[in-house]
Amino acid sequence: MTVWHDEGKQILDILVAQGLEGEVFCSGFEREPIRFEDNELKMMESSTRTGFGVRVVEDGRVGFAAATGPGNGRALVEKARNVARFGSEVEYEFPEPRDYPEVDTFDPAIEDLSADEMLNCGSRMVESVRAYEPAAQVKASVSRSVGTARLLNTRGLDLVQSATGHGVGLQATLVGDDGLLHTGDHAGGHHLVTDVDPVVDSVLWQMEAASRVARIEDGVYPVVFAPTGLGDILRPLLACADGDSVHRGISPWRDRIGERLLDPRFTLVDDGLLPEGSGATPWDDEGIPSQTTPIIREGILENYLLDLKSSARLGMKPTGNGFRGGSGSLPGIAASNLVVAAGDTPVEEIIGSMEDGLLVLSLMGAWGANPFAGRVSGNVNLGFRIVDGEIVGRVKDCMIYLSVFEALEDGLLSISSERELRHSTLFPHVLLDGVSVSTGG
Amino acid sequence: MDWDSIKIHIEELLRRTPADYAEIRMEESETTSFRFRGPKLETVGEGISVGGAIRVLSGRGWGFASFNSPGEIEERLARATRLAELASPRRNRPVKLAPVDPVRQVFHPEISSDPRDIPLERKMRRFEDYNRRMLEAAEEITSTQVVYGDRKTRLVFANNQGTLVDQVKLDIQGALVAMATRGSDTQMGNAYFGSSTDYSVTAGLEEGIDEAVRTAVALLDAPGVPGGRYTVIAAPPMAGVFAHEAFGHLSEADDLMENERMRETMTLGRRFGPEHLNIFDTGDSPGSRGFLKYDDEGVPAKRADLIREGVLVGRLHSRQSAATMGEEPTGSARALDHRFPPMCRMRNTQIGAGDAELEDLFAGVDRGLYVVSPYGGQTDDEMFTFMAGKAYLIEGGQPTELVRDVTLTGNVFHTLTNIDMIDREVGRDESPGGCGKGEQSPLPVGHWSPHIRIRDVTVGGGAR
Repeated sequence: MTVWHDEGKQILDILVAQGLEGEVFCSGFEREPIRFEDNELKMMESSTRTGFGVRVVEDGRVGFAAATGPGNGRALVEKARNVARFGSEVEYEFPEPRDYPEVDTFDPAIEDLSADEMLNCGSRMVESVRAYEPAAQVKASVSRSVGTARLLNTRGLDLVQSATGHGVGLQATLVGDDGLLHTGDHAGGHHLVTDVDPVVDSVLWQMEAASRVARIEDGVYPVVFAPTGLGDILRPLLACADGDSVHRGISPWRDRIGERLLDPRFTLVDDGLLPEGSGATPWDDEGIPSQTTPIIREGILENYLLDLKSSARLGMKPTGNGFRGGSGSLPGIAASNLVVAAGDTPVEEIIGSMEDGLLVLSLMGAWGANPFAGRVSGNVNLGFRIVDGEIVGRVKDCMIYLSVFEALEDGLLSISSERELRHSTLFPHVLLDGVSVSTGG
Repeated sequence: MDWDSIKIHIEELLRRTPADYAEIRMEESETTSFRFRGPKLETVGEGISVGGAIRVLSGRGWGFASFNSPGEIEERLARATRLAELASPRRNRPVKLAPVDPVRQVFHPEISSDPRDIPLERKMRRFEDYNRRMLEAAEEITSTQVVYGDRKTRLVFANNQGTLVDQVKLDIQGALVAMATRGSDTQMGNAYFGSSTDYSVTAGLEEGIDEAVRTAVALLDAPGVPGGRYTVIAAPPMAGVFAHEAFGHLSEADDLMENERMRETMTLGRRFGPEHLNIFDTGDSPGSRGFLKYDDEGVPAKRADLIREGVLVGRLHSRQSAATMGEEPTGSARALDHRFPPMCRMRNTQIGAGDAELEDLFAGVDRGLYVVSPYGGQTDDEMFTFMAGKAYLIEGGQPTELVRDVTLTGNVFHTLTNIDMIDREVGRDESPGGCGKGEQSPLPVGHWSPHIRIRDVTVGGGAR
C-alpha cells in the first residue's frame, strides 16, 4: 500500500543520489473542528493537509525549502540547494537512529468519534451555560485531528509517528451595564476528553465569582496566579532558558547553570514524556528522543532548552526541544509540556490565608514586555479581589506589574498542592508577594 | 497550477452543486523568508504553498473543507456539502447572505518592484549589510534580529452565483531590531517596513536602523514612569494601532450580528467620540499592506466609514453579517489563506486627519507621555492594553526624557471620548507582522493615522 508520506522517502532518495546530507520532514493530517458561536452551531469544518520540509547541507551550508501538497519533491530539493548557497554555516550533524521512549500519542477512540457525538458535546456545553445564565453569549468548539509525521535523514533515520488530538473549548461573554465579562476554559490532548464537566464547571464558577464587582486601591499586594494565568509569569523564565538567547548572550541566565536563582520551593520542568500532555512525543521534530528536562530544580538553574543548532553552538547535548510550526518551517526551540512542581498548601488554604490581595485567572497584553528583564505587566482580564480570605468580587480596569525574577526569588509565598492540566501545561496556583496594582481610579 | 483549466473545472462543479450557496477558492503562493540573529544568519527558506478552500451553505448549515491537492476539489466539495447538510438541522436561526452583483474580474495589480524578480542573494546582501551596520554601531549592541519575508499569491475565487475573481496579491514585510545589553538588562529599538506593491521599501533604511540603535542604547539608562493617569500624545504608528485594536476589532460585524447586547452598544448613530474624530477602513490604499481589491467572498473591498464626526456610522461586513443586520456588505470578509474560512477583518484602518498643528498638541501638557511606537497590543472589545516600544516624558509642553516599560491601558469607549486633539498630517505607517483573530494570524493590514492626543490614559509601570 502506498501512503502520502512515501513521497518523503522519494525526496530523501533524491538527496542521497545527489550526494547531499539532509533531512525530510513530512506532516499530514485531517482536522475537523465544529464551532458554536452566539449560542448556535456556526460551522462544521474539515481540513486535510500534507506538507514536506527539506533541509539540505551543501558545502557546509544549510538550505531549507518547503511545499504543501504532493508532487513538488524534485523542485523542493532544487530550491533547498539554491538556498544553501547563501545559507548559514552548518554547526551540527543530523542525528543517527537511536532508542526512543514509548509515548502513546494515538487514541483510536478519537478516530471513532462520530459527528453526532461531537455535535452533542458542543450543544451540551452551550446549553449548560445558557441554563445557568440565559443572557450569556456562548462560544464552543469541539475538534479532533488524526495525523502522521515522518522524519527521514541521510544518516539512516526514518521515524513515523501517528497522533490523534481531541480538544474542547468553551467561552461565555456577558454584557452588563458595567461592561463585558469574558470567561472561558478548555481541555485537550492526544487522548479523548471523556468528561467535559470540569470545563463547564470552571466557566460557571468564573461567572458566579464575577457576578459581584470589587474595587481595589493602587498599591502593592500579594497575588495568587491561577494555573491559567501562570503562563504569563513563566514567559520570562522560558525566554532566559532558551538556548538561542543564551548563545547570543542576551539571556541573563548565560553562564549561570548550577546557580540558585529562585526560591528553593520552585521547580520548572519541560517534560516531553508527560503522558496526558498534548506536547508528549517520542522524538522532537529533528529526531532527538524526548526527555524530561528540569529547567529550574529547587530554585537552581539546571538546563537550557536546546535544539540541534543551539546545542552544537553551546557544546551541550540537545534536550529534544526542536519543534516546527509545521512542515513549512525550520525547527526552533520550544517547550514540549511545561510542569511546575506542586507545593504543599491546598488552594483553599492559600486564598483563606490572604488578608487583602488578588486572584488572577488571566492577563491581557502581558506578552509584550521585554522578557529578559523579567518584568511582566498586564491588564487583569479576569481577576478577583480577596479580602480576609474570601473572594469578594471581580476587579476591572486594573493593571498589575511585577518583576518575575524578584518575585520568584524573594516573594514566593506559597504553591498549591493541587495542579491543573491544560493541553501542554501542568500548573499549580502560585502566590507571589510584591505585585504592583494600578487602577484607572 | 494550470489556472485556465482550474477555473473551468471549479465553475463546472459549482454549476452542478445542489447547495444553496457554494464557493471555491484556489490558491498558490511562493514565499521567501530569512532571519539574522546577531552576526549569524539564522534561517533562510523558500516555500511553495498550494491549496484550496470550499465553503458550502445548505439550509441553515455551513460546511467548510480545505485541502492541498488540486486533484481533490470534487471530493472536498462533496465533503463540505455533507458537513453543511449535517449542520443544517442542528441550527435554529436561518443564515442569510446579502445579495451582491456577480463580479467577473481579473485583478493583477501593478507592482512597481517585484521581490520575486530579485535574486535571493541580492535580498540577503542588503539585509546582511543592515545587520552589520547595527552590530557595529555601538558597543552596547550585543545582538540583533533582522527578519525579512515576501509572499506572492495567485488566488482564484468562484461561487455558484456567477462570480469569478482572479487576483494576485503581494506582501513584503520585515523588521530590524537592535538589542543593547548591560548586565542583566536588555533593551530594544527597531525599524521596519511593509508594502503590497514595492520591494524598494527595503532600500534606504539606514537612518531608521541608526535610530533603532540609539533607542536601544538610550533605553538602558532610561527610567520607568510611575503608574497613574497621563495625557498621552500618540505618534502615527501608536495611534494607528490604537484605532485598529481599540475600535477596528469592535467594528467586525460577525462578532456583533447575533449578539443583542453588543448590537445595542454598537447602535449606528451613537456618539463614540468628539466631533473631530473620524475612523474608516478601506481596501483602496495601494501600497499599504491592507490593500485589497476583492475580499474572499468576491465582494469589492469598499471604504467603510466607521466613525464620522464622532458618531458610529458603519462597520465591517461579510455577506452574512450584512444580511443579518440589514446593512450593506463592505468587502471585509477575509481569510488568512486557503486553510481558513473568511471572517470580518480590517484592511487599512485609518484615523482621518484633524485640524490641529502638532505643536499645539504638545502645548499645555504639563506632564504627559509621548508614545512614539507600539510594541504590540491587545484588546477584548472593551479594554485595551498596549506596550510602548519607545516613549518620552512630556514636561512643560515638550518631550523630554526617554522612558521605559510604558504600558497603556483603558476602556475603549472612554478613551475614544478623551481624544481631544488630532494633527492635520496623516502618517502612513506600515508595520510588519499582522492582525490576529481566532486562529487566523498574521493577516496583512495597514493602519494610518495622524498624531492624536488622549486625556486621562491609565499607564501601568513600576518606576524603578
